[in-house]
Amino acid sequence: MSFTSQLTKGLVKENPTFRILLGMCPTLAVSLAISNGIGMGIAATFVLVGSNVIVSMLRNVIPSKIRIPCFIVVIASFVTMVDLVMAAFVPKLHEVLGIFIPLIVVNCIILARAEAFASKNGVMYSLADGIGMGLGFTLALTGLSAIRELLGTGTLLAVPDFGFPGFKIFDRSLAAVMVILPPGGFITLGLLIGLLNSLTRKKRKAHA
Amino acid sequence: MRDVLKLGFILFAICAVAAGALAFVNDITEERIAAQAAMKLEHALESVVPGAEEFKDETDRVLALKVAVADGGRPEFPTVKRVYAGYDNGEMVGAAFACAPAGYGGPIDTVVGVSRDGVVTGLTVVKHTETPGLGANVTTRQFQERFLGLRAGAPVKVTRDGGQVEAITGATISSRAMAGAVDQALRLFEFARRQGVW
Amino acid sequence: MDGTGLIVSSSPHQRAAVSTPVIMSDVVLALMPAALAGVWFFGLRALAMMVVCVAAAVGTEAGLERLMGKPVTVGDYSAVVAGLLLALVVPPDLPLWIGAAGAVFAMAIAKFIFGGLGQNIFNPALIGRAALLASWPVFMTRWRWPVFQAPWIPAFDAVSSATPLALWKLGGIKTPYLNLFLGNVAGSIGETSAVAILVGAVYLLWRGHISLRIPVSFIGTVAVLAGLFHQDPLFHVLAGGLLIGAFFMATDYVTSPVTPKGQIVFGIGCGVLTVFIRLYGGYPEGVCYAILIMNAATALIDRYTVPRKFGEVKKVA
Repeated sequence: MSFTSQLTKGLVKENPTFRILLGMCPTLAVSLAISNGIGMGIAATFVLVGSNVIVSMLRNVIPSKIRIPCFIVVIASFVTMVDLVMAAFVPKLHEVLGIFIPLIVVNCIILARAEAFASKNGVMYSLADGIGMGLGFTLALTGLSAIRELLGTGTLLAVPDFGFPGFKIFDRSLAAVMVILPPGGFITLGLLIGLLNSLTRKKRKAHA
Repeated sequence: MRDVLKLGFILFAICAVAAGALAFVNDITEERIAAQAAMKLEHALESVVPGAEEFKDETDRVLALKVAVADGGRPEFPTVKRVYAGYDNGEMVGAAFACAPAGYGGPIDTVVGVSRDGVVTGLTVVKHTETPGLGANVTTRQFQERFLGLRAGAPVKVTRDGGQVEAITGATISSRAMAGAVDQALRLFEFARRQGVW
Repeated sequence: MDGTGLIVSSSPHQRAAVSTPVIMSDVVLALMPAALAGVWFFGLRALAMMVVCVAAAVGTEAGLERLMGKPVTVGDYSAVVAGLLLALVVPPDLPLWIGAAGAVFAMAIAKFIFGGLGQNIFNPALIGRAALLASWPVFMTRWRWPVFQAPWIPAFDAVSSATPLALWKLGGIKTPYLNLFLGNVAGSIGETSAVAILVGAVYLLWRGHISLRIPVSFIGTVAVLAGLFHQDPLFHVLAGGLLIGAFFMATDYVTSPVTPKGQIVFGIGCGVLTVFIRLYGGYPEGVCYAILIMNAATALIDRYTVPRKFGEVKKVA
């Protein structure tokens, strides 16, 4: 176990979205545009790193009987701080991510990492785990958003709330609206998970 | 028993620290957030009532009027939430009506601007949850321009309902909601004017 | 198939000399009158749509099976049927590539991912249509009044119009019965002509591939409910996609119940949903969604309508 391996495991091998299937609600709901995906990913990463470090620091203080309420208090406090800071300093992004910021509280990735990792490991490892898992979540969200934004609106990297129309790949009237509606989210996510599974299965076979 | 006290104390300590941290963050962000909200409203109002220097919230005056006559069986204006009057050098130049008509995916928060002489001067969508690509087109200039210049008198409706406003293709419900908001804003304006508010 | 996990009831078994290819090619044949009517009313463009959809459906199935190293089963005609049915329930002026996208979606997502023929929960052609309506609603709701025109006249010269159901829902205009019966009204390529669909249906009934249980309970429910709600029952039976849906889609072996009682429950459910969507829903037509929703209930219906075994005594509650 090393700092680097803790950092990188969240990217692919234990990717929270594609592998552990955690945090599906925000994944499906905000992955409409790359800008949303990155914004949500960064906000969740910040909360994850903060809660991991605090939980790890307090792991010997918190009695196991009340660990879950303690984790929730820590996480909820971080989320509220992110919510307030974003509303004050990046109001446009805050508007887009809307109700999903408060929902980070119930994002399973964060509670799961607190319970499964930070409460049992040291501060540095927990920091690395938080960053890695957060980046893995951001990466997954961005990838999913890129596909959905391209097929569903015909643009890439559009940030309408900042007045940036993005790169137009094809005309919006030809875009498949369903891809940015909820069913499109489920189908795209399912296909991506399937693709990743089949790729790694082949790789494992080649190793054997 | 001692165990319960100990657990309770630890939880209390954690909560107290968290509450302190939250109070601190709230303190530094509160003012900015309030300013952002006020600026956003100001922005919306200015965009729909051109030429107004300052706006006054006159919801209470107009609402009181509405309630008073509603007893006599006069029409209600359920989608109008707030009324702002725009002034230039103390002279009333127009009014903005914050409406929340029911769209396809929930209320569409809209501000409708009406000039002193009762003509629609502007329309802006503040917040909505309509379907992307269809109903979400209520935010486009192209659609909103279809309402400019309408005046009280004939009810505002989409063409499908026998009105004058062309609906967004594939989004009749959203278009109908917007037409309803403009219709009620115009009627309320006319009504308030006749009651001598402005 | 290795036979493990298969539950076989005790003999005697009924034997039939029909196989999937025979049934499916008969279904293709039965769809020909509706397809020809579509070409007659909407021009060669309708024919092009059918060719593109069938090619895309067959190509997708063959390609995916090749890719996954599974036996290629396009010879059973089921992909042809799905592609053709999809082409018959889309508007005539839909861009061809959108039709192709629908066929690919129908085969890949609605059929192949569930495990291929016999495993899919939902009717692939209807899933294709629903996906297209959700994806390109503007193109999917642009209808054209059929004109007897030479095929070389570009489609955009034709008069655009709402479908009979939309005319009725939004304006209270009722299209004459004769037009609905013959099919010279605006609508999907193969759904407009009641007479052509009925000819195909009679052929399927005569060959014994479908029973009357689902179509009759489906159409009957629509007529009765329409009457109860003070609507014109005959209009509701003839207009829209009810006939093609009731005879060719609700009767799909894979996605409808196998028990006789279940089939009647299924038909009634489809009828009730259709009428409620038509009268109270956001869309003028509800057949597609009605059948898809009942598809989801098929396993449940089968479970509760298993016929009693011979000699079994009904349990007294």
